[in-house]
This record gives sequence, C-alpha cells and structure tokens, in this order.
Amino acid sequence: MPDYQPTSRKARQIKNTLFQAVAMTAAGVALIVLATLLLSIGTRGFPRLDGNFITDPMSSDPHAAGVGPALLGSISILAVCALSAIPLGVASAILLEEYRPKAKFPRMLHGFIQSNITNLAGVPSIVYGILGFSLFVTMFSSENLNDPWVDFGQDFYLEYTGAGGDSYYVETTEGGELTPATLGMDVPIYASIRDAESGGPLADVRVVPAGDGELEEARRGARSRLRKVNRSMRSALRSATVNGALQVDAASAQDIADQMLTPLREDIKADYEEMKSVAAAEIAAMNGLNATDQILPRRQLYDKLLDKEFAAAGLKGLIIEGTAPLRKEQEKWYYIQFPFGKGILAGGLTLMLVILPVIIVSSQESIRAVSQEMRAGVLALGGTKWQAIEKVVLPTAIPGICTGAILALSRAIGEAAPILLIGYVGLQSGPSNLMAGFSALPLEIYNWTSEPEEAFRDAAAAGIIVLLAVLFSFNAVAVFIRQKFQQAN
Amino acid sequence: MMPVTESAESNLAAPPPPTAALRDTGPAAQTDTLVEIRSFNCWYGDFQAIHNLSMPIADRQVTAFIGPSGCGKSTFLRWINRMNDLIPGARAEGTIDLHGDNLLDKGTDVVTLRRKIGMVFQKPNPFPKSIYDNIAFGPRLHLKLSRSETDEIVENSLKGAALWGEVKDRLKDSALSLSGGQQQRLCIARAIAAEPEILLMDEPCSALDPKSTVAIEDLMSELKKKYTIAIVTHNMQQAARASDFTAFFFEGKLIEFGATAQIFTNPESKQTEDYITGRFG
Repeated sequence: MPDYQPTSRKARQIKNTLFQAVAMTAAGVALIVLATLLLSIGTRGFPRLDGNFITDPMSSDPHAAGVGPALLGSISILAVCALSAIPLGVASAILLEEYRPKAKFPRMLHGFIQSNITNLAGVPSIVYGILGFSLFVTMFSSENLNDPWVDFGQDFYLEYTGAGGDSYYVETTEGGELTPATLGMDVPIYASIRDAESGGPLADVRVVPAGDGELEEARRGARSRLRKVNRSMRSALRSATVNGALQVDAASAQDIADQMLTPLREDIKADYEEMKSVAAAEIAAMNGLNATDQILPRRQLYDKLLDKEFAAAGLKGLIIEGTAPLRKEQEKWYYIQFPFGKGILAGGLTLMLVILPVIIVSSQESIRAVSQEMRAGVLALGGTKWQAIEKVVLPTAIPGICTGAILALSRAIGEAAPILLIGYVGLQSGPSNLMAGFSALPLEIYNWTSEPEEAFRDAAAAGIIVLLAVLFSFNAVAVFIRQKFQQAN
Repeated sequence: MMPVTESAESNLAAPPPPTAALRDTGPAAQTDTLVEIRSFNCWYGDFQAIHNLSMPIADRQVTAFIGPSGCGKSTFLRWINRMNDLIPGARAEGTIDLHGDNLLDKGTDVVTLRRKIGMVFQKPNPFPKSIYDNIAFGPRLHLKLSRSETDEIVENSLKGAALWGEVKDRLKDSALSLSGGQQQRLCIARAIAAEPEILLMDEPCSALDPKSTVAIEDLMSELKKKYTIAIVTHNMQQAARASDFTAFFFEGKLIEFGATAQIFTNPESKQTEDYITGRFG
C-alpha cells in the first residue's frame, strides 16, 4: 500500500486560485490585443467609410481612393474558389472515408495520401501562391503571357482615326451583337461609331451591303484568314528565334512573309506582291530583336491586310474619313485562354489549393461522425454503398461540411500571400471575365499600408473594416447553418 | 437468384395481403424449412469463428440463437444477409440454402439478397429523417412509387410494427424524437416495408427497457404469421417466451438445436443445461 500524504487543504486552495488567475490573465492579454486592434482600426477607418469608399476604384488621391474593384475581385476569386474547392474537397473526403481499400498496397497508398493531406493543411500559403502561379498562371511555360497557346471568346472591332484626329471605333456586327437599326432610311445600319474614351455614340456608320448573307460571310472569312495570318506569322517568327532574338537575313525574311500571307484570299493575292515586300523588309529590320515583343510591324501589316480584305469583300461603303482602321480585340465574358494568365480563374484556383486540405479534413471529420449503424441500416435494406452515402451519410454530414467549408472560405478571403503574385493593385474596374486581372481587398490594404502618405493608412483601416465585415458575415452564415441543422435533427 | 428477384418485385409492387387472410400457423412440428444451413464454417482472418454448423431455419417461425458472448451467434446471423462482406478478412464456406440457391456463392447479388432478408440491429438506428421517410426509405431505394402507394406502404408497415397508433399524427416529425422502444419498432417497420421474407434481429431488445421489450416480443409473435424470424438474444427468458426453435452456440459450435420447449425443459446436452440454468455464461 502506498503511503498517502494528505496535502493541506490550504495549499490546494491556493493552487486552485492561482491557476484560475493564470488562465484569466492569458485570456485577458488576448482580449486586450484584440480590443486595441479593433479600436485603432475603428477610430482611423470609420470616418473614411461611406458608400463611395465601397464602390470607388483605387486612386492616387488617398481621400478619393476606394475598394470597389478590390471588393468585386475578392468576391469573384472567392466564388471560383468555393465552386472548385467544395466539390473537390467533399468528393476527396468521401473517397478517403467511405472507400477505404482492403488490400495491403492500396491501404498503404491511402495512408500516405491521408497523412499528406493533413500535412498540406500546414503548408505556408506563400508556397501555394508560387505553386498556383506556375500551375495556373503560366502552366509551366516560360513564354510570354500575352501570347497564349489557345484563346477563345474574343470580339474584334476596328478602330478608326477620324479626319480631325479624333479616335473612334466601329463595333462589328459579329454574332448579332448589334441589331440593325434604321435612321429613317431604307438602308440597314450595321454599326455605329462610338467615342473611344466614353463609349458614347458619335455617328452611325452606313454599310453598303453586297447582300446581307454574303456580307456576313465575307466578314467572317476575312477575320478567320487574318487570324491564320497572325498564327502563321507567330509560329514563323518563333521558329526563326534563337535565344530570344530573331535571326533572319533578307532571304529568310522573304520566306517568312510568304508563309504568313499564304492563308489570304486567292482573288486578291495578286495585290500582295507589294505587301510581301513591305512585310519582308519589316521582318528583316527586326533581326536581332525579341520578335514577339515587336507589336508595331504586325499592326501595320494588319491595317493594310484589313483594308484589302474588306475591300475585296465589298465593304467599301463605310462612311469614314481618316486613316485605315486598326484591328482591336475585346474579350467577351466567356473568354478563355491557356495558360490562364494572371486572372480571377488562376487566383481562385490558387486559393482553392490553400483551403482544399482544410475542407477535406473537416469533411472527413463530419463524414466519420455519421455512425456505422446508419450505413449498415441502408445496406441491410438492400441499398448500395452509393445510396448509403447519398441518402444518409451526406445529408447527415452536411451541417459539419458546410461549417468547415465556410470557415475555410473565410480564411481564403483574408489571404494575401497566395495571390500576391497573381493579383494587381490599383485596378480601376472589377473583372469582366474569368481571365481578367483582379485586385483583392487584402492586396489593396497591403499596398496602402506601404504608401508614404498618412491618409492612405486611414483608407487601409477602412479597407480592413470592410474585410472584417465580410469575414463576420461568413462566420454568421456558418453559425446559422449549424443552428438550423441542429434544430432539424 | 432469379426467383428471389422476381418475387421480391411482385411483393413490393402489390400491397401486402391483410393479416386475416394468412394461413393459420400450425404447431412447430408441421413447419417447413425455409433456410437450410449445411457444414457452414467462417473465419475472421485466421480465427475460425464457427465450426461446421448445420441446422434448418423454419418457415414463418421464430428461431432464437443463444449462447455466451463471443460464441459466434451474431456472426452467423450477419452471414445470412452477407453483412459480414463489409468486414475485412471475413470469409465463409459451406451452404446457406434459400430456395435452392447458396447465399454464400460469389455470384449472389447481395443487394437483392438484403432486400429479401431484412435486419434489425442491436441499437435502434433510425435515419435522421422524418418517420414517414424512414419507412419509405427501403421501398424508394428500389421502386418509383406514387404518393398514395407510399402512403399505403407506410401505414401498413407501421401497423405491422404496432406503431401506427402512436405516430399516425406525427409522421412528419423526426424519427429521432421517438423513444428508444418506439425507434426500435420503427426500425422493424422500416425493415418490413421492404417486404422481406426473413427478418434477422440482432439482440433487438438489449438497449430497451422491460416495457418496450415486451412490446417487441408481442410484435414478434404477430410478425411470424408473415415473416420468418431469426433472433440473437442474450436474454434466456426472451428466447423461452418468444421463440419456437432455439439453437445453443458455444465457442463457435452448435451444441444443441431443437424446439424451444424441449431445449428449455429437457436439454440433451449438459452444456446447454448449465447455460440455461445460469451456471455459466
């Protein structure tokens, strides 16, 4: 029998009180830090916070700067992140929890993947930023990002310089974007000149059509041939590039010019003898330079090609005075390119990498919490494994999965490090398509705090308040969902 | 498995016949054998859980499996509807013959099999859904049902499990709001909603209070008019009260099988006698 020494009642009481005091001090320190933070941000930020601050773009004037585009950017990348991370994470969790392999080797693989996912949750987010940059933004290529391998969903318009030196552009009718309108005339109006700055209409352009169907056909033909010219020139220039510099003599420049003009219309090819020599001369002049950066010769070639192509297609009737039109590209909302480039798709997917391990682990916990008896119940009724997952396991685990996902997303929206390499600061408008560059609240805040002017610090504080408001509303949704499902069960 | 499949579908599609139309259950001696088990052995990895078991399960009678913990009775029960397939390393040899098919064959479609052989577990396991959805769960897994057909199945199943009167006004309530005994009867109703031929019960009363236990036992004597019941129990009085046949297991072997009255009044084996008189186990 051990010899029990009775401890004094007094000593035990002192220990008890002491430990309580330590715990309260620890909690107090945390509270004081939080209160100081909120107070300093609140006093600086609240005076700046108004409707304009939330909608205005970044400005060099700290008193006019706002977080509009950054807020839109944050919401956009978060949407991409949620739509990719939640399905992937839940599906992975189902695989890891419900389809545990029985054989030895798959079991080892399962354990390996499981421990890696748990470890991934602790990887610093800047590492994910670098991974996301090479995986999504450049897709491991070192080529110029302005020159994607594949692009889809671009609109073309022609920019004219008017006689008075004013700049206009003419929208094309491609895809029926503009419906023909009449101006009291019996000739359809197919396009209008807009002010390149404000986008407001300046004048309508009357096109004398060679028959509507033919006109459209001709336009489409011209455009696709121009695209081929562009592509063949790009590949010809690339193949003549050695160590980033173009290596051409007069003869090979002529070859390249020949090659790039091949896709042109048969009936107007004769006119291009002159073009070819112009092109060859321009290419020869680029010898030794980085050819892909030489936009200007390409643009001049375009102008001339457009003139000819449109003339051949019977599009002579544009009432435009001034120089030849410039071909410009405008991305539609569904514009896609590979590699993705620095856009919201790449940003959202990078954030997905950051939170995917967290979502997988929390979904696994919720799925594991569904008792085995539930699964056995479905199987004993003649259900398949998937029916058990779909009809009982997932519905029961949903509150936990939602809570985990929302907490992960609220972490994602506050992250600056992963998107440091992908996002921009000071953008004037929100993203218009998945490839468009974006700014995000944490990036803008980080940028402002490093500005020398004191007034930017106030703007940063106001930005933090906006970010906190978004965060709190996320957490509120998580609490709400949990409460709701707990009541339901 | 074809005959099983066909009869399962026709049974599910048609509403169950009213209890009164069923034939009278005669005395135990006149019963037919529904399931015939011949030289059954099973293992967990290297451990042999059951040795060379042969016995019949009588059609529309209650057969009780008794024996001390770890004797293999639950394991055997879970082989009848192949629930042990889920346990890594579990395997079985021999024959469990139902309508001329060996259930243990590799080719057996376990999903169809489990539709024919319902199971009630030790712990009530209602799904976290409404009472109505719990009962309709099994039929909905396999059939497209109209609203009125589903209503009928739910009502008949709940009446069959003697729960209808208690829950008919709260079918939309969560099944988890029921008491333990009600939950277990709900699980029985859920199992019979799928119109099984056999009902396996794995210690269905061990988590229930005496009053609920009596309710379930009364229910079993009703249910055996339509279903063949195999029940594992630790409660000797329950086996004596509620079953027609009793099988006594000890250390993975079937020691004695016979009519319940004979086992409990005049056992042939000394071990059986020791067990039922409470000398061990």
